[in-house]
Amino acid sequence: MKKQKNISIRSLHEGLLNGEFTATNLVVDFFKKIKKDDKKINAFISLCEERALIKAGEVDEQIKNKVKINLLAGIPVAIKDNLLVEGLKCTAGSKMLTNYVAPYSATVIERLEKAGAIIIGKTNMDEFAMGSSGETSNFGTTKNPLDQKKVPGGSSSGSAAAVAADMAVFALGSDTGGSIRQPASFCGLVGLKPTYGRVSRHGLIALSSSFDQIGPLTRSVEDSAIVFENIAGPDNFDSTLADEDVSVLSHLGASLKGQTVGIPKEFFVAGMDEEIKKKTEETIENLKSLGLKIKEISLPLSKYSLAIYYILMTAELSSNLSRFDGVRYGFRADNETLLEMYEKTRAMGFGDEVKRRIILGTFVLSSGYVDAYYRKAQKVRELIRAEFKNAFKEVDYIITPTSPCLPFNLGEKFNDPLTMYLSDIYTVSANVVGIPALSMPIGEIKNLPVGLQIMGDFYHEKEILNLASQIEKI
Amino acid sequence: MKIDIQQIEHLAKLAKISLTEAEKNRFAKDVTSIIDYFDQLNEINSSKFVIPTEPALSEVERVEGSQILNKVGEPFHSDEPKNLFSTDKTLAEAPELEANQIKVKAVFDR
Repeated sequence: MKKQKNISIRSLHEGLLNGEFTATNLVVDFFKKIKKDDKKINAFISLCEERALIKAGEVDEQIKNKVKINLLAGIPVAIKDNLLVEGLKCTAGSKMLTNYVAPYSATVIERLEKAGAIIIGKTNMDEFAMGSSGETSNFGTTKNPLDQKKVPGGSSSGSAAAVAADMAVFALGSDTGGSIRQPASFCGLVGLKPTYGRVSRHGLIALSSSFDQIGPLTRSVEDSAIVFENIAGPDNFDSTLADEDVSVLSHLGASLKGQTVGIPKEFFVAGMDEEIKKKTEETIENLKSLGLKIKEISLPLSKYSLAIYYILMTAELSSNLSRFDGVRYGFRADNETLLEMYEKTRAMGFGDEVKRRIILGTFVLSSGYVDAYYRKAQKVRELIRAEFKNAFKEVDYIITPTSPCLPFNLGEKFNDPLTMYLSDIYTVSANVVGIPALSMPIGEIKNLPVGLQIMGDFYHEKEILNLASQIEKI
Repeated sequence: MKIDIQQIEHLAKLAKISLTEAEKNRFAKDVTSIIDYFDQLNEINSSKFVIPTEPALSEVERVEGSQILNKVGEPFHSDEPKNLFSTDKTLAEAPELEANQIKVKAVFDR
């Protein structure tokens, strides 16, 4: 199953305007494809065909009446199943929320639908976004459409697989430690994690609130820029959002002359696949042809990012997930007393990895350990932020591979949590610091895609998308 | 540091999750190895460093770098009641209702 390179948001938009096809045609075609292929891939948890056809009809009506439409109007999109869409089930990949129907829509969903994008379904994911392979979902494992023996990456496993298998034009995911970029890398897509404070999380089922960010998984950098412009920007329901300019599209293609790319030496050490290293270095060498200067930099504390991340992330999630107690929504296990109800509900409603991380998070926050782990990690997080901030005084971009390894086999790392955690080693820094980062395909090794990660300074999505769009053309 | 079964039981109690014996054994092993990994932070001396977000420490020198904190926009919106969520739809998600109120077992013994 090779993805169709020629599909782009802009080309479909033009096709719609020129009357080559209707939005309804598009929706019908994508559902045909889903019905044919998703039995094998398992990218979707639920579909909403009837709703999609009604929305597509509305877009067709607008086109017929010559109403000016957004680039996203009529474009089929798949949504990670931790984003609320009013009236649709939202499971977060968990038994806990198997029958939960969202009573309102997330801000990003309202914005996409206002732009006319057509939601076709909710995608599979690691349970509550805890995982790097898609394997912790309560709704079965998602397969990598490029090689069905391999994982698609996670936690936005279904979102990446749906786009890579041509079952959606683009998808939304969420990225707490790499959950957009790593599956994008494994499925040969462009994945953007915006700056912390760019995209409203209102209506996102929270994993770890000081890390979570929503972003697009797309076929091309331009598609990524189009989606970013439509979902980013201030929102009254998320107080972390900055009032910064969100326009990025017009900047694609701008000159890169005189700019500097930083290569952090600490990332290119033991543990990285030799062939990924070679491929990345080839791409870096090619950057000179774009007028860029290459500079080796040092981020000595970045090697602690993964430990910092897993301490703070589990601490925050152990608190965030306390809301799943069987009282107001979701699964409830009946029992004699209220306390037993809580304990059984959580025992039966959560899967293994979720319980493991809640226990870990409870540990790092517990009396006697909070200073040694949680508070220490917070301090080191600030030191790492300072280190990156200083680095961006010297360089405009920081480039690394997205993942230290190629897509691995289904089941390969499932029983060893620490090994699984290590697959996030290059992506977590951007979340720890809060800066934007993008993964893009730079070629294949053994027919499996390799992803390059570009990190930029705070609110520099415009810059990293521009660089990515030019690497795309090399 | 080795995390034993008793510690896992204590944590499970704090987290209000009942665990099976098999889970306790497995988590004790997993948590021990993950915490060993966390212990690499002992290499860093951060004793003089304070967390910029802690108001009580505002007098002390802060490390620059928490750009996130000073770049946020207007974090407040006007305090006006709005009908954001439908009461019916929200209550429809509750596992058990009585007279339009969420029902649970008694909190206190009679």
